[in-house]
Amino acid sequence: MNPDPAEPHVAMGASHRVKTATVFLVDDDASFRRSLSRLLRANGHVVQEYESAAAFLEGRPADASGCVVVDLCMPGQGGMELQTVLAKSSNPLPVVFLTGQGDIPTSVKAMRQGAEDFLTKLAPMEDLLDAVRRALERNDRECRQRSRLAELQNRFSRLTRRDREVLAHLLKGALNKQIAAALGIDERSVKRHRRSLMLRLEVTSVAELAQLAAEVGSVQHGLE
Amino acid sequence: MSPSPPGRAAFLSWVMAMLAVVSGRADATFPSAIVGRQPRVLVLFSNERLLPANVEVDRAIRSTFQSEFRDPVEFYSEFLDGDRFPGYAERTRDFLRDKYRERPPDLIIAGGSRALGFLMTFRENMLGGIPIIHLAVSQRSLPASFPDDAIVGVPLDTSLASTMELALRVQPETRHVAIVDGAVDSSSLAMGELMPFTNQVNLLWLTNRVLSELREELKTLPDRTVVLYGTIFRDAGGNAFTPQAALDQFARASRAPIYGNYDTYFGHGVVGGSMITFEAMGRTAARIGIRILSGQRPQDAVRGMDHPPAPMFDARELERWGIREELLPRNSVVLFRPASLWREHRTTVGLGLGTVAVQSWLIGLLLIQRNRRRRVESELRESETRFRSLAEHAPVMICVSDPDLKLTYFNQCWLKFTGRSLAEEQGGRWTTNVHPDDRPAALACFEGTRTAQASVAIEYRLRRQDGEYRWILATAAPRRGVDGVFLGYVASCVDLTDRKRMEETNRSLAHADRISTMGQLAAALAHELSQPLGAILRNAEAGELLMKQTPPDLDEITAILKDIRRDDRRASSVIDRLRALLQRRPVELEALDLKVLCQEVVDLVRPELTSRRIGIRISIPDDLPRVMGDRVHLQQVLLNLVVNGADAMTTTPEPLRKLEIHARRLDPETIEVAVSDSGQGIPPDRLPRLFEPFYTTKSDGMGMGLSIVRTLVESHGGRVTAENNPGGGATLRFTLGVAMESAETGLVVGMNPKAREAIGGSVP
Repeated sequence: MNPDPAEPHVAMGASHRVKTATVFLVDDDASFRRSLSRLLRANGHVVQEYESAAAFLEGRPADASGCVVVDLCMPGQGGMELQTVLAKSSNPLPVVFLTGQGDIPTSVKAMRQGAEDFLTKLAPMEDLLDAVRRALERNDRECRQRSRLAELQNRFSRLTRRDREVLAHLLKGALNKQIAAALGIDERSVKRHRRSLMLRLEVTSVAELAQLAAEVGSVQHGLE
Repeated sequence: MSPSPPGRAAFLSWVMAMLAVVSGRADATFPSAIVGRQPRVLVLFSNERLLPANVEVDRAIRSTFQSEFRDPVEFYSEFLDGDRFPGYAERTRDFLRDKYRERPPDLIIAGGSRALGFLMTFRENMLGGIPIIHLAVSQRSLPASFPDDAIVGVPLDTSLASTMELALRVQPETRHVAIVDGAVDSSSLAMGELMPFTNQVNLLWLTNRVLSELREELKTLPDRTVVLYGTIFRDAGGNAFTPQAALDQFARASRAPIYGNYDTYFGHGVVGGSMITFEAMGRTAARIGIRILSGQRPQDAVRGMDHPPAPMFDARELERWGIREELLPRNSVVLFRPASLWREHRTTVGLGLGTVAVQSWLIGLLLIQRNRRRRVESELRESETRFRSLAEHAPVMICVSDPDLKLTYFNQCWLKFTGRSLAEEQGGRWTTNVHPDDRPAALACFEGTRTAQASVAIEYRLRRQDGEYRWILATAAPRRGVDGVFLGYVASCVDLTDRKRMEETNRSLAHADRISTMGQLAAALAHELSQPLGAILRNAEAGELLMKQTPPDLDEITAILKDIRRDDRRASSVIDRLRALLQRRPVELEALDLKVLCQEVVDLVRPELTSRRIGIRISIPDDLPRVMGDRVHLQQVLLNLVVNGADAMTTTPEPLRKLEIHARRLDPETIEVAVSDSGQGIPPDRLPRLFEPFYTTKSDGMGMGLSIVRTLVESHGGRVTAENNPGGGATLRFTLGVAMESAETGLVVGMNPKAREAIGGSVP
């Protein structure tokens, strides 16, 4: 199946800058897929259609940005499986599930797995568009968060072992003297490590350091 | 209302013509040559009026004229009575001349030689030219010649010779013949005639005797004598007699049988003789007269006329003298058969005997028939008894009714049902307990038995003794009499209520199963529907938005509308199929293509199968003949089997989950469909009970599916079986009847009898 002829416009810029969001539409029912695609495009979205989960998983760009709207019940791999695969991947796009029937167990299961939303195909247009918007926002957010995390992790990777040790104590609120005693080095070395790690982490104060650390923690948490 | 004169004349002449035909006058009648008046015929007799001979002659003459002469004739009779009154010739002549001056006769018949002689004497001066016919004049009494040729007649053979011959033939033992005669002048002639016989017999001449003398002589005749009697009008003593009177005097006394020449002697003691009847003489003379009166010349008229003698006998005398009839000549006429009813009244007796014979035969026939009927009746009674004892204790209700619907017999079962006694039920009409709504149909049906050849069946509700109306299946067979007359009918009735309830239950169950099966696939169906519906909705929304653009993308909008229409149709068809499956509907039999049917079912089920990762394959040859069945029911069967197969594969690894549907022709009338799965198979101990209701291995199933399958298949006349596959999994097979299609029209004309029979019953 050929992807939508309207190619997403790739915006150049920072590596962590989010690409133009594409709504990836996966449904084996051609008529429904076409109609939803029309609707989304009429709302200004960029849409790429796939007729099966396999087609999408194989054909999606590696740095795809946007969200996936997927039919829960399809021959071969279903929507749930697709999401499972996506979630484990490096680029876990948010998923909006569509279904012909809406039984509660399935929907609960889907939501637990982290779907952005679970809608019937006959759901009102507003709900559908809202879900897509949220998914795209989430994607945006998560992208940013990921790149932020990546950046932060990059910064932290600059740190030596001794830097990390000093950092750990610093985060606990220890004075230089205490850190020197804890690590068995002199105070001057501690001061020296302090200066280098702050430089590497690109912070100018201990307060910022603490913020950074907290941020790392929450981002990590948020991405889970 | 009388016909008009011309009409009446025509009618009368028609009547006359008919009468003429009937009386025979129309044939061979001579017309009178005398014009303007009736011909006159004078018959002149020698003797007295009441001489038997004269009476006979006169009658014969008149009747012959009547039957053989066309026109009426005036007859005049005159009697000379010359034997008793000789010497009156001249005075008689004058008398006659005066008498007949105004009516001269056209023809004169002279009876006897005296009359003839009389007429000859006065021929010239009184009777010139008038034709004269003589009769009963012996050859020797005739004059040598007549004065003119207007005198004709047939002479009478008075010879005793032929009578003698006859007597000797009839009594061959005769030795003597006594000749008794009165006419003196004829004896010499007689002698001459009879002389030849003297070789054979001895002749005794007893002529010219006084009667008393004669009697004595006859008394003392020797044995083996016969008497030949001529005539006696006057005996030797001068006494005048009629020949018959003379006979009376001596016939009784005679020791020997008396033969004579004249039939008028019969009854006076004469056995018989070679006789010419006076009737014959009269007839002959009349015929000659008829010819003359018709215009023939007398000489021509007499030509060919004759009256030969015939042997005649008196049966009484034959018996008196012990003369055996076998000796009589073949053409003998035997008169006066007394006691022989047969001879005298042959026709009557024959008819009587015939009637008796016929009646006897009829009686015999009737007797035979009666016996036969008795036998048949007894057999009938026997079988009647047998029937009764059978019927009395039969487990079905039996009743017999007469043509007016009155009950004449009912068995125990019936009485138990209605709760009434024999007396109460007798004579009642069987319709009284029939449900009012069903009564008209039931009545019409039983009326139909009047002309029906076979039994008829109908269902109706009948009220039981507890007041409840039960469904009854009544089968009535007409009873007919010997000649096909309608006698009423025998009906046997079965309480169907339970069966009907079961049918109703089956129907409900099948319906419920359909719904529940659909419930199982509700997910798939909802999905099926939501695709087109969702597409329509999204398309409409998109369309709305596009409309707000400036300018609106009309191409895209057109495409949207097209898609909407198509999806609407898609949704409708799904709904139709769904509705068809869920409806409670009557059975609709049609010829179905199995391949198409399986495909439809698989299409319905595909989403479910897909979600379960089950592959399905249909393997049906294109040339498989169509089957006879109800589309929805067969779809239900296939659906159930496919779902069952699918359910069997829940623990099977996904790549191995395979369903297959096969169909093949088993025999000319049967097709087998097989649904195979690669699942866990059926435990052998469960196989026999597989199709029972409420039997399930599924924790969440009702267990109705396969039992419904069996009900549906069996209602189509087929069988369903299950077996485990050698390579794992199970196969469920069922058979269906081939739809028989007419080669010419291609129309379905029927199905194999077994199936038809099965379908004829109730189908849910």
